[in-house]
Amino acid sequence: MNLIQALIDATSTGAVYALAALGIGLVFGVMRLANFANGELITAAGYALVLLWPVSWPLAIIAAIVVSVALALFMDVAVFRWIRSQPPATLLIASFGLSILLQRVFDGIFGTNVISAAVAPGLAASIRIGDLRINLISIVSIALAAVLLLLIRFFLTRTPMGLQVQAASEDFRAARVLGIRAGVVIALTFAISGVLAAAIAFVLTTQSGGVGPTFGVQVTLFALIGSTIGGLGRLGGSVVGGFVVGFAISIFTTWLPSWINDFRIAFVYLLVAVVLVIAPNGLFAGRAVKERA
Amino acid sequence: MTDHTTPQRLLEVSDLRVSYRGIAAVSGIDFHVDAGELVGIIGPNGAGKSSTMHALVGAVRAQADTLEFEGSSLLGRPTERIARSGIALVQEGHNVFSRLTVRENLKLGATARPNSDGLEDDLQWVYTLFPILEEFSDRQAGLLSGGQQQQLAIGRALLSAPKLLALDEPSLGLSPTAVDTVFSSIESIRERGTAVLIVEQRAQQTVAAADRTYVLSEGRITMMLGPEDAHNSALLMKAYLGS
Repeated sequence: MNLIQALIDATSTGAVYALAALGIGLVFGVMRLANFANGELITAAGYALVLLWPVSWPLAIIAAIVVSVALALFMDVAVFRWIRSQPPATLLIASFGLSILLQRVFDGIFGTNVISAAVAPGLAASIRIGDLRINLISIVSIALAAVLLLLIRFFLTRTPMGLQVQAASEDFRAARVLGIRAGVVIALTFAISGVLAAAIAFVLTTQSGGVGPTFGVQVTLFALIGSTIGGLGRLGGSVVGGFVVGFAISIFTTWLPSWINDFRIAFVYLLVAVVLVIAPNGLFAGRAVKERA
Repeated sequence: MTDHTTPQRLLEVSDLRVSYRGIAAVSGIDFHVDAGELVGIIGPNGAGKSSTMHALVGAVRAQADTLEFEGSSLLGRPTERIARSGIALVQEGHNVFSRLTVRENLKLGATARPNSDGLEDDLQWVYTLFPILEEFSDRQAGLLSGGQQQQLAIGRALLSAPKLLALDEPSLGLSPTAVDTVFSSIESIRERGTAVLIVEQRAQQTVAAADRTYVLSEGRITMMLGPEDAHNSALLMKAYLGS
């Protein structure tokens, strides 16, 4: 396969994982919660897309965003708000529980089977530039990720609320002492992770065309790993870490010889293990993540 | 109408108790701060000074007969609401957001303001108090020296236009010059009409500056000193070491 083509595909996979890692990193920053149930936000948005796209595509997109943002806020209000001051391990385990519970709920409502629909079929086409064939969806996902990353960067650095989120990420108690409303800041990061989940679901449903109860699990697992190797709590690090993991998966899939290709995921984990042995706090962590007071 | 004969009570604390896992850190103390006053609390390490400050802003769970600010109870009120009612705490250990710039830190200080009236004036005043903050306004706060970070933390607290500024060991870990800067700024802050509650280990400087200084030892107030006691070394020694 052509090198440039493969690099573009890998970049697009990396972009999607970077978005997922950013959503996880934002929530982790203010809550010290590595939210595994982020995957179910992606799944919920995915169901909205495959079920409603045949009816009306604008409706499907709006519904996907509304559903995943609402579910994200619900997670905060129903579960995480009550255990906010618990240690990160407790929060992580709670998010595992919530994740499994929601998978059973999806299972109960939509069944175990994958529901399929052609989401944005126009993007399945590819464009030719000389010898190069580039999938439209690859370009769209790279562009979508770039726009969202820039928007969130703008929000965090240029708006008063964004500044409050940054402050709360660095020192939650100090932020509250200044009058920053803890509940609002946390809800906001959950809502943003919901928006990001909808964007990820769009790209993934366009590629795969089907959604089952565990649709969002894999990307979330790898995004969590990406966040960790990038340095949890450093947003830039999370984004880069997510990107690296996605990029690596895509490259391994393309280039590992067929007799070991089934083990490509093992190679990703090997990469992660090597990184963590070299830099236990992640590639970009200036210092150990502070425990929440 | 303000009554000019009796001072306005800002903070009223009686029988304040704080304990951690059953071990008492503060065991029933009484003190008050009136509008415009400068009140000190001194005591050795572990006397319960920081616990008292944290209880004030709801950062630790506390019990009390009375814990009132401007006549309404602070017990059970969330930290951010206490900040918005006019108490600005400068936490121990020059607590600034190190990844944000000096200007961004100052901006965040204004979060608890009731409105933005007078914000620009207050900012100019903070810059007069601590000129270094204006000079380094685009610098990352984490790159400032300890003394400069403390100035930033105090300046940031002042931008919330507090009625009561609570300082938790502002001189901790600072050079002698930096300590002088902090103490002289406290005088100016008080002259501008903001009440100040300062918790310190530096007994003499605190007693000299404050209208009233409570001596805290093992979670209890053992003595109350006035500015005239600042040079009575025997008394200060006794305050620290017990009789």
